[in-house]
Amino acid sequence: MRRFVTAAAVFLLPMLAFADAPPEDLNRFKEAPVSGGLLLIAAYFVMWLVLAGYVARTALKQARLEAELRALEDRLDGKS
Amino acid sequence: MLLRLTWLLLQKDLRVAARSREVFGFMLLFALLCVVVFAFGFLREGEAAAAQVPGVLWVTLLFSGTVGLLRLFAAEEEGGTLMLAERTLAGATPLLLSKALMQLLFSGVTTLLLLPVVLVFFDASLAQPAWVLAALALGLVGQAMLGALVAALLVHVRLREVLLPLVLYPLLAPLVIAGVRITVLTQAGAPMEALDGWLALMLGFDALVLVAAPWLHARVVEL
Amino acid sequence: MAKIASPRPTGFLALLSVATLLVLAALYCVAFVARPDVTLGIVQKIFYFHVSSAIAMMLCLSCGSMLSLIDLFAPSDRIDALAHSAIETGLAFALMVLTSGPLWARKSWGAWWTWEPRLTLTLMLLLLAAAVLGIRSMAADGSGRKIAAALASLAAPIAYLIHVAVEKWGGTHPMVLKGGGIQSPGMQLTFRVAMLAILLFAATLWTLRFRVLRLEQRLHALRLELSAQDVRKQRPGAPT
Repeated sequence: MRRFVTAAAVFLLPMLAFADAPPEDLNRFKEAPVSGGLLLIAAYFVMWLVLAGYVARTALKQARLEAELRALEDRLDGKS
Repeated sequence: MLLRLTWLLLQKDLRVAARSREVFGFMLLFALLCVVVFAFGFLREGEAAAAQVPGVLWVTLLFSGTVGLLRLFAAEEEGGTLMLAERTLAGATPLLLSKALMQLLFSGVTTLLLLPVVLVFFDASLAQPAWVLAALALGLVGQAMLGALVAALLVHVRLREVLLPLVLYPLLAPLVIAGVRITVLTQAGAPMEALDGWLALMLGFDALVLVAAPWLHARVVEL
Repeated sequence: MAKIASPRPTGFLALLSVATLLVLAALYCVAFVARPDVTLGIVQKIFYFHVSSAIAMMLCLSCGSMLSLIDLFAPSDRIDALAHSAIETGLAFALMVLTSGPLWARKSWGAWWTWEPRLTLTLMLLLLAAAVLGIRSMAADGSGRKIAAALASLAAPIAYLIHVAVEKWGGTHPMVLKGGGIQSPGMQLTFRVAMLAILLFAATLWTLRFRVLRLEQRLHALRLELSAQDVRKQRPGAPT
């Protein structure tokens, strides 16, 4: 019996929280105006970040390939 | 030769499909499920449900078509006869055409069954059914042909279940946009002239795909 | 046996340094030569690099699509690497356009994103390029290349249809500022320098990626040769 009451309480008590919830006010999430300069800086920052990422990725790939190529060449030279 | 072989391959697929009806049944169920989920997502108390019909209809067809496309080459793949079917006397085209026709048949029947369900669920009616049906036909032809091509290309690719929608949906964007717009315009009672441009766009898409898909398929498969 | 390592990249280094200098010059122009726009304010300065990146993206992706078509007609490793690197570079520039665009739109249109035709088209191009590259990386060596080439060559005419569709869909948005509105000679100069800088930079990136892909191809060929040698050593009598 006690277990039943506990279980019921656990399930029912949270419902009290919804009993008189105020209607959702979606307007309070509206954003304040932003500064153009900040956006400008952010835009340039992100653009160069994208480019730098791309260059870094390619450069890393190249370095790895060069190393692998050299290792293979050595092996070939040693054999023939 | 080309048509005869296509017809023979299609007959074979139809016979297999008639024996095991799973794929078609699942496609239909999936389409129904999509409509229900869209209802959860888009319907709100006090708003007209009919306004959502064009979007729900076209996106459901886009999604449920994928189910069929993913299983389109399953028989050939499991039986190991794909290479054989690709190297018929008339080249690989009969295989692609028969698969596209198969997909068209499946999605066409799904559409005819789905349309009344959507209209009932969303409390709507079609204002100019002929034009909407024409748009649906054009859309399904384009989807079947392009879908069959992508499915054929991806048969041996890892993760193809994920990749197929990834490449197919952006390619089908013109059809979806045009189809939804035509349905919206007819619901709003727009004059016929307003539809012309959209129908021409769909026709152009279908013409492009019907010519390009067999050519590209042959290029990739036969080399 | 001939040395396989890449030749001295003098031409590439020259290209890289010219592009870098031009980019620095363009940044200087954006900061000090071009005056802030009268109506749009300082945020309009995004325009110079945003529009040039968009043009670089279009050039890269259309080159990639055309080269893919050529590769289907006359398969060659060189053309394939050129096409693949073009699409990848185009994807990088598409990312640049799509990150700088919303930041500008937030100020001048009042929303991060609108389904304005050119925005939608750029997003679709990004998705298509990503899908093509994804398939290429997932498929087995030889087939992935052909599949990606077929899809990339089909993507160009379909991208045109998407363009037509979104133009009709978007209708006439009153807020679209055609060309961003360049008023003064200083702004014109800045735009020209930025455009040249970004195009050269795109060419540099394309070349860089192309060289790495060629390296990969050479490495692959070398591995094949090596394994063939191993086989021959194990079976001396076998025909070569």
